[in-house]
Amino acid sequence: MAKKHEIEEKEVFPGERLAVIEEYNEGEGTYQSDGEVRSAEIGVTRHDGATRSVAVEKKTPEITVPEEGMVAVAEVGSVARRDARVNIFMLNGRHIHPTYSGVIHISDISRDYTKNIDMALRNGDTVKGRIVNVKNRLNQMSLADPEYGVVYAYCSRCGGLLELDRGRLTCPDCGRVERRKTARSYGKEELV
Amino acid sequence: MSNNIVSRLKRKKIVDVVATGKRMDGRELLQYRDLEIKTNFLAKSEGSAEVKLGKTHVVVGVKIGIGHPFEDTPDAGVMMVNAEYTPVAHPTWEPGPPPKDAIELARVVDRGLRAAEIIDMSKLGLISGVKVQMIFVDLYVLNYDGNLIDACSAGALAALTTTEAPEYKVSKKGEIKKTDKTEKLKLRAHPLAVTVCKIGDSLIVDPTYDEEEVKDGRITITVDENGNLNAIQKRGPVGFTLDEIKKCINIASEKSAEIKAIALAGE
Amino acid sequence: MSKTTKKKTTKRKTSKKKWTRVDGRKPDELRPIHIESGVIPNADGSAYIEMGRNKIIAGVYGPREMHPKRFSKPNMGILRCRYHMAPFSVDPRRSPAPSRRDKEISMVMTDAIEPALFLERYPRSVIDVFVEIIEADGGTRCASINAAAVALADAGIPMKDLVSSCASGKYEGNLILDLGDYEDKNGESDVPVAYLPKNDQVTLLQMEGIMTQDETEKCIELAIEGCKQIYEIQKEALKKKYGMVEATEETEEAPEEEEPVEEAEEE
Repeated sequence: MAKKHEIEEKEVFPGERLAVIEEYNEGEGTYQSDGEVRSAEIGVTRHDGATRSVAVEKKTPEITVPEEGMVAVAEVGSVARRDARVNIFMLNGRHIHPTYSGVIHISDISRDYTKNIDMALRNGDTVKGRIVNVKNRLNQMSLADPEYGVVYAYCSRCGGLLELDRGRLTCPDCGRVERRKTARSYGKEELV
Repeated sequence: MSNNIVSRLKRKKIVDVVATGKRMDGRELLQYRDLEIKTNFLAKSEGSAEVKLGKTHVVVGVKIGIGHPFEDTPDAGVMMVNAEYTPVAHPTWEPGPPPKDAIELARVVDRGLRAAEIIDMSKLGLISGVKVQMIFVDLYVLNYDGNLIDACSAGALAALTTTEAPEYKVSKKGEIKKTDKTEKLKLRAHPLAVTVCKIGDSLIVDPTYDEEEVKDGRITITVDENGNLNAIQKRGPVGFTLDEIKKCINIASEKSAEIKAIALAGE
Repeated sequence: MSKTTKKKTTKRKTSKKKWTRVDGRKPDELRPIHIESGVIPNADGSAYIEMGRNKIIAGVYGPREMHPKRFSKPNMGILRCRYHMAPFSVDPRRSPAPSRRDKEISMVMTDAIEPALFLERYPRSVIDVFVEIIEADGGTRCASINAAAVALADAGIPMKDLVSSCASGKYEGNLILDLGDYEDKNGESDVPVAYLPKNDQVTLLQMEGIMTQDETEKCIELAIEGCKQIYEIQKEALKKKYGMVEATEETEEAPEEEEPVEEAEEE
């Protein structure tokens, strides 16, 4: 166990000085300004002797912006040859308004090689995936996991909601069978 | 606004629950959420009311001023009802001119008050054809969780009931002076709007935002304390049977009496 | 102390004795302030402030994607403040359309608050701060900033500091803090200031009137002192919402489980 410091953890507000940078590095929920570590949150300090850092554990709610690792649910917009544009309307189970724009690259659709994006996604589908990158101007989503993929899809002939029937996506209205990269929760994903 | 699939799933969920005679929040079909009305809480308005109906939060301000009469009624005062959808009230509401729904809201509330001849406008003239008293009723939505018409109607009535109208004096020279004296605005009727929503085969009152979003249609009926109807507004792309309409009227009569006790508590 | 100065002070004393502020406050005394956070259930963060008779509500939405996208910045987020007055907030009633004044105040408010945020963390996003003046009583821009800062903190948005704001000015030859409506309209000058209390930075500074250089500097100092007092009140409001005990030396860990979720239910 790391050496336990005799520092009392306390409740702090944004801007409060926590340490000078020579004593502690800035941890989560803090920022550095002119060699001083200050709180960026309303919360409780957490000094870590092992990493010589001080963090602030926030008491206020987490903000909901796309971050790597978050689970996102999105509606598929236009599908191109190599990628699909999506509108993310749920992040980590929370509805957001307006939607965040995102993109799914063909290489992120499955662990296997996807030759034709049309066989995996269609415009209007609802997909569940993981945010893998937020830096390239667009929020990049990946469906490459059995958990992830299309969760609701419409029939491209008649617009009916496709149902999973013995492993086949079938339109209950017109009987058409379609292909998608489905998620394990297809047709059952809780969105409300 | 929710997208296609979310609305669809939401509708299914709500329709299923409502079909069992219950609501998502545990209410009965014909049960209002808690209604709280605080009157006279603004010093700069002649009348005011703060309404909380569940999470729906509305402030109503009544201002009295001087303005021009309409040409065809040179001696009658003017009442204006205006609704503001403030962008604080809902994530989908944006700053800007009032959207269609806000205009409908103001007009439906206005119609109920006007048709009931709640205020004797002929008493509000000052200089014939030139100056009359103006009564502005501003409906200001601060948090939107459904059923704005009923909340605003109750708020408007509560605010008007407690309005202290200034007394104006017109000198021989034709100068209008506001005196320090005030008098309680005399109301001749107490109309209240009740909105009944049709969801599937069921009728419900006081819909939340989610219920409103998935409803098939609605009928708003304004009823006064004597059981007279003053205004009706049907919305939604569905039809109502005569039997359903009669049911709605009965519900409105019953519920308006319930709301009245709260809306007029400040009187 | 030399004789001359003594004389001067006695002279001043006698004149000062007679002089009192219109509402009986001491020159450096704030009006009563009440702040409550978490008042708009739909907003990500919100606050209500009463500062004197000002009644103001602020709601925060975001960070969220900026629409229309052409206004977004690829490398950072945008703060958008909107100051808006309810038609019934002033006498006589005003039009609900934003005035030139509203637009200017919205801009200086944005500048006052932006230095407290880490906008570089939210590329292509916007943080919306909507402020609605329910009742105006002088110093609305300062009160709005105070409410907005609490609302931003309530939304969980990381901040470099809170922002506290207060005006000072000159009235009948005396430098005073936190001008009320009457002092604002009839005084010699008005200096609204916003301040980052822990970073010691002034982020809003306007002035209107006639004052000497010395008086102006003293006014700014006085306003900063006022901001420091307001800062404590802002913290109290947030402590109350987030179940924090007074941070004394023997701070014990408060049970942390019960907070954020339950607050929403209370509305």
